Amino acid sequence: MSISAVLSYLLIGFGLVFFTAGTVGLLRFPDVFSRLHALTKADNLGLGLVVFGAILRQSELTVMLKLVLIWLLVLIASATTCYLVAESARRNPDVKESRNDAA
Amino acid sequence: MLLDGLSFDLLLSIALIALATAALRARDLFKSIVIFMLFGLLVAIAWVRVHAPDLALAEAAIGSGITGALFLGALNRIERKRKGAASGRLENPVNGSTSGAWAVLLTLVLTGLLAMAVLSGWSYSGGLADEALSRIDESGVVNPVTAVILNFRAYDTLLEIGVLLLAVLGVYAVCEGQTMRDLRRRDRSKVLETFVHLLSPMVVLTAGYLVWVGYKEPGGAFQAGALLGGAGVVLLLSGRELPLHTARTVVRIILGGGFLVFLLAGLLVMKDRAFLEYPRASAKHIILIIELACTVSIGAILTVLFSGCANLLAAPSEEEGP
Amino acid sequence: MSTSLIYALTGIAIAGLGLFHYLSQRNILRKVLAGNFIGTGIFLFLVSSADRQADGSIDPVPHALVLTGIVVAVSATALLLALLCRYHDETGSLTLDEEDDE
Repeated sequence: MSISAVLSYLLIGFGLVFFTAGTVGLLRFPDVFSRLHALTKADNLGLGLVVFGAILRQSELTVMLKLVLIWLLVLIASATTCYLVAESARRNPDVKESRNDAA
Repeated sequence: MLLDGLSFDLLLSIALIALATAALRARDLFKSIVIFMLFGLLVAIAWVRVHAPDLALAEAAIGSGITGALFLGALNRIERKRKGAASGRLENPVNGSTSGAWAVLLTLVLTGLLAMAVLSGWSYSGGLADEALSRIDESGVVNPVTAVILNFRAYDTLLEIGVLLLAVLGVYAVCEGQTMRDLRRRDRSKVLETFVHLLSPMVVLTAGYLVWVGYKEPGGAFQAGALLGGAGVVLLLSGRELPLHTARTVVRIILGGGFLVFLLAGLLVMKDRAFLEYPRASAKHIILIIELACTVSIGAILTVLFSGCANLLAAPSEEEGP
Repeated sequence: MSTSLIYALTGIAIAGLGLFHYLSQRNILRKVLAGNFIGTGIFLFLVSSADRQADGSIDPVPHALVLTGIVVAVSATALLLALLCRYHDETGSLTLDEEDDE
């Protein structure tokens, strides 16, 4: 395998590690704010790593730029929604916390 | 081999069934709706796996995004109304059900019959693939799904846009005389406004791109219209006032424009052909015009549908007049 | 066991789940949600059946039908939810039962 293929596998693998970390944070942290923190930080970084891993497998420049654009848009959207959720949670602290189990 | 695509498909299928079960059995309605939106996104991946990228675009935008917004808007409206009586989220015991045994029986029989039909002979190569794919050049576009939607089965699409219009008319009729919820609160979020300000031009650009690229790649009017509808929803939620009521003429033109353009295109080619039979030379241009008109219409229709469910639709005040 | 067969069976299973909950839930919002699951399951089944040509090509006609189907499903959902909200405004209840319950 060429060096770029190995590198892309490594990057995507690290991205998956970050996604897993974010999901574990979502499931195990006690309140909304720490869960938001875990989600936005870890998931966006994970997405960035996956995108860069995917870029290494592309050949056209336009597709690479589109992938980076997707990452930037997700970054902006995720930051905005994180802010909105945190604002709503701060304003209504008495909303019942939903349980973590599947019941 | 453990690492090939089939194991991914099995995992995805198990995830889809698990999510469907979780969404339907959850006690909290909010949780049900959120899991439903997540389910929609995974179904979009399933569409990619069965070689249907057009449907993946549509499912992610419409099936997950717009439908989720509709449900959440309706849930919010119902909960606000109930705030006087009781507080907290809406719950419903999942075993508060009516028909128990015969529902199970009916479901098992129907799914069992379908599954048996599927398993008894799946590698059938027939259908309309050969006829559709061999006549692509006549249709004026390169993408086969666009060709089928807007040329070979244009009649279906015309009537389906008519169905959208009917739904909008129904929503207007149902929301007659409702007092609109006022989103111009004093604590309107600056972050959301900036986000919407930044993103609306990009959404319009992407929608135009999707319509244009639907000629040879996955895309087209429905996906682009769904994007515009999503932009409309976010604009409404950030407090922007959009003209939404049919008392304004511009609203009537935008909502009905797609259907009207489609109908006119079908009628105007009727000089020496059948209804909706485009001449081969100008089929590409006719399809593009129809798609552009339908994109704007579908975006507006989806925005109005959301505002109807979320109580953001109101008749204009008396001084504006009909 | 091919890709399309897996998704066809999954689609049937999802439609079955949706059908069972549609018949057995009393809350209309949950019925509408279950109806959406029925629709998505059937769409999965239809589109998987378009993917089984011998030479790997796909049949675009079910794709077109399902694309319009997705849009019609969202408009039906919207109309149903608007009706439900209006019904709830008038009567305060979310079910169609005769007796006085919520």
